[in-house]
Amino acid sequence: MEILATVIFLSAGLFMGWSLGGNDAANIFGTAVGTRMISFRTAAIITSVFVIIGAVVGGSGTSDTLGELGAINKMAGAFAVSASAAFTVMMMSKRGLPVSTSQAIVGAIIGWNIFAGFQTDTSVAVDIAQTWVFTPILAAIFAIIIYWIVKYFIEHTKIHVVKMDKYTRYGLIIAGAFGAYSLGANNIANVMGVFINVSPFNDIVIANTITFTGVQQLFLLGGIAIAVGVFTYSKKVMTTVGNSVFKLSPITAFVVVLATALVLFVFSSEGLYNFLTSNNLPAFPLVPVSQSQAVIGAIMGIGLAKGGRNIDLSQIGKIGFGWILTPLISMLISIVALNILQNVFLQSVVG
Amino acid sequence: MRIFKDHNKELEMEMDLYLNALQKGSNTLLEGVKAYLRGETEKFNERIKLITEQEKEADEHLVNIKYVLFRYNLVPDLSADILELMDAMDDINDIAKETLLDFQVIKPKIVPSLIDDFGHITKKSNKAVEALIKGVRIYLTEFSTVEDYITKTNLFESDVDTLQHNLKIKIFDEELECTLGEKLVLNKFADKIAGLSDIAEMVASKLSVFRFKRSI
Repeated sequence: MEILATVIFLSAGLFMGWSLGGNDAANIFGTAVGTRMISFRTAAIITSVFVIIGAVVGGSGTSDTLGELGAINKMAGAFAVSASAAFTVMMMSKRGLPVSTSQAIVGAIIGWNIFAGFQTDTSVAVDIAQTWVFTPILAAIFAIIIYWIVKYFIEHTKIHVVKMDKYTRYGLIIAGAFGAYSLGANNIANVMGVFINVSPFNDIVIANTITFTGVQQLFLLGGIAIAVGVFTYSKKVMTTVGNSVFKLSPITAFVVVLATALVLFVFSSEGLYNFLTSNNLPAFPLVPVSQSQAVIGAIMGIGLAKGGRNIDLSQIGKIGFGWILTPLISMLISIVALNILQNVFLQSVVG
Repeated sequence: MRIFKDHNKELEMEMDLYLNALQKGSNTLLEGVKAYLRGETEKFNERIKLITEQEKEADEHLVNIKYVLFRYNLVPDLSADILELMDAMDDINDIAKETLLDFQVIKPKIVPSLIDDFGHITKKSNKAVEALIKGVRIYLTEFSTVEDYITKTNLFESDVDTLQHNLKIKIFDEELECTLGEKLVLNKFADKIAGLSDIAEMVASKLSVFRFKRSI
């Protein structure tokens, strides 16, 4: 019975993972698949493998930050928070509003804090909010730099168009693998972060040397959910991304994917964080950020690098709108869901 | 071990050989017309034989290019542009061969006062094709400077237009001792030779679009 309850409670996180795999993962290989540079099967396999590696190997940093924001200590509470965020994302997406799972989960955690009567650490909340604002800006900066490097390379090397196509294809695969790794490392916190303190898994020691921690097992499960989302739902989204939403050439798609992956990487890499802090340098906070907003930032960066033409300013407004609206709605839904779960279903949501 | 064959290299090579065949075809037309104008029948007949082979050779390379592109799906994003470009250029050798064969069959009477004009117009048409083929080669490797060759092609085509107009004035001059039928035949040959530069111009405008599409 306890196992069944655990499965039901974890299902909210697994749904988040599936949704992430279906939508966000499509941003990585959308253009490559849409323009037939890479087959969907190849894209799906690479994405799945690297998302899982990213989640298991590099996912703890951003999850710890979410833990600092609100340490959810009951399985039912974690379920309510995760389900509220998932519901917010689904509802807002259906209405065509800009939405990010990162922003939804943060709002839902704050909702749990309010419901439980715990003080939200404002310094952590401010850090997270600043990172959201900085995400598209940093993506734009990275995109501009990469764009200039790629442009210089193309204009100053006499590479045959056929070879260039081959290199572009390799570039898209490598950038895509990196993008998938970064997505897994950064966004696994949105999928499984709230379940860390209530993880049903115990550490497994393999051959007395390698320890596969309970948290890693949780992240592996989340990674698999993302992979299932990639295989079952992302094909249509990839074709749409490739053909209609952002009409990018394969080379500009490479720039966008690489810039986005770098942004997600710097906001999730503990190694980079430790390196910078140990050298007394300002470090990037380890925060789950919106991949879609990083993509928009990167595309705008390329627009700026090209001379500032064709920049859709309404996108900036929409992003700003999402920063406030998404966590707010998610917070309210979370409070309502926790109330229902505690008072109607008689579940303990706060320890 | 056929599966280890580098099909990218194969495609590059086929495109290179195809462009060589087109350039040779245009050169053969120039030499053939010159031979005809000088009355060098043996040389002219050799050129007829040569251009027939060159046209066949170009067709074979075009088929190979299409085969490699379709079979191995090497450049999905660019394949349509490459095919369109290569297909459009195929007309160069077709026109060159057709023109020389027409010279052989119709045997137009070129009066001495028009020999230089026919020579010049053929030379300029050949120059337009040469500039175009250089432009296409540049497009395939170093596309940022392709516009220079597009401009050159257009300039040569414009020169051909002027020469063609002047030639027509001379052909239909009342003092030219030719029958109206002969004049109409000469006019047709002037159009045919100038047609080569028109194709070069048409392909150059396509190239301009493809160059724009390749810039990032």
